[in-house]
Amino acid sequence: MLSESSYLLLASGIAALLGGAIVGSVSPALIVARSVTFSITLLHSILAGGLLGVYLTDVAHIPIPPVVTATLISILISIMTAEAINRGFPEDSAVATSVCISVTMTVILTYYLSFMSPLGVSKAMSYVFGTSALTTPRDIARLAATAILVTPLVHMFWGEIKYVFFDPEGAYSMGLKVRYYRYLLYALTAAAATSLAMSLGVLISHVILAAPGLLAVRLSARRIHVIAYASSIAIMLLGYATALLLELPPSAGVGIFASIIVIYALAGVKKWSIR
Amino acid sequence: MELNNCIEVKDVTISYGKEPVVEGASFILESPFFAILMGPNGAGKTTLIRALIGLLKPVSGYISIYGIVPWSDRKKVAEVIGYVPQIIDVDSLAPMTVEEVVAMGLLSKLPPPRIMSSTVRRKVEEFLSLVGLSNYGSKLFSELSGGERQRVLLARALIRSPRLLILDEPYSMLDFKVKCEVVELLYRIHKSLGVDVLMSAHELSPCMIYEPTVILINKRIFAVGKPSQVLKLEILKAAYPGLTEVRGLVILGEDHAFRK
Repeated sequence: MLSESSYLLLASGIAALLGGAIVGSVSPALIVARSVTFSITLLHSILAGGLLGVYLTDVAHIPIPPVVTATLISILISIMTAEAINRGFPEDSAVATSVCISVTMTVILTYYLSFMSPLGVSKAMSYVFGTSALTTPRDIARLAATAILVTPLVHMFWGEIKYVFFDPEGAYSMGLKVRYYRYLLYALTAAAATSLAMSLGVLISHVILAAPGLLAVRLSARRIHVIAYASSIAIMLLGYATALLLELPPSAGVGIFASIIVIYALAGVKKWSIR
Repeated sequence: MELNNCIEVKDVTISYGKEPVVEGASFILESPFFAILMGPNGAGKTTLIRALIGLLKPVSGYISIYGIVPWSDRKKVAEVIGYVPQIIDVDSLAPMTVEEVVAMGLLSKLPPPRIMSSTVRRKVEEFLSLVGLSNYGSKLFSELSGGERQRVLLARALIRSPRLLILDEPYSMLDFKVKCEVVELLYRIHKSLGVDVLMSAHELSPCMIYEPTVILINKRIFAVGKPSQVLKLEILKAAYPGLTEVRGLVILGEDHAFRK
């Protein structure tokens, strides 16, 4: 039998590796697609979806776990955003519209929850800051399932995803289904972001989704995924270790290192430079 | 539908809102052709090209690419057309190698997963040589000059073995020498591979020696024919509202002039 501290270390290590794998695959795609702002939409919608789940479980007594509602709402909102962009909306306008819908949902549900289930509000707030100070078996199972789904799909369609954002008209003229590849990237990002947000919280997930991709593009355009995986796993491992040492939630530890990477990636860039 | 030998645009009107961008456009190009869609900025050249590749559906009228209606049979039209977009519509800073850009021309014909095999690599190198870019495969697209980028996109279109090359402003933003080189390459490909060429441009000078078929457009089609038939003062006056006459020269309001 493992001692409690050994179990904690092992669980945190596994969670860090799985989280790193998820982020390392999705983050470069978001950067190449210039869709980091899109992840803002997702994280707002995850919060709205999580609140809906808490409301349904605690108030309406319908046993649908918040993770399910958060995933569904984020995928729905992400596809809505992708469709708006497909129809000619500028990405920032489409993102802003989706954020409005998500925030409205969040405000209404928080308002009702504060009357009907004060405990529900605190549960919901855990989605903002991260669920707990400890890595639970449920966290590991969720992260593993997401890694198994997201990572191979991103790599299988990496060429197409890059291509439809590199030259959408050219891709269309060659018969590639531009719309479906956009949906695919946004849906995979939604799944990854939801899973990460449930463990790390909405706020930190935004930083961690951007950081490895930014760093990879900054350092070498030819080895994007190698750098993204290495940096995201390093951020996760260092973040979880720091959190254990300082008795902080994992989100705080991961957030510190992700922020350092983002500042480093942005600090030396005079313009969007690719070597 | 049976395949035929010509591109037919019949009474085509295209609009983004209430105002038509292209109105009642009609012309026929019979294979083999080396043609230029010429007109001032905002004349509807890109819009018409987008309809030709099936990206836009006209409000009214009919387009046939060798007997294929582009917006209703995307798969077939993608097989016969090699398209080169305007360079400004391509994300030139995307982290793509030249090999990746060209290979997708071939890989997009296959179902996923699209894997870069050694056969594909060889074919990519063959077409890069054809456009004068041997050993450029490992370079990043972002590292290339404007003329080289244009050649890479041309190689991507050609690797698909198209029957028709459609190019949107292939030599915009290039210096005159490079413009002439690009057109010379296109003409050589037209002659050696038997590929029909239709490109848009608002400048004819680099192409004049090849006697292209000129389609003069400014919202509607003003003339179709050889340069000597189209570049006439009365026709140009109608198509170019900014046209001015100075001491025996006609200035089109852009970057070239014709003697009266």
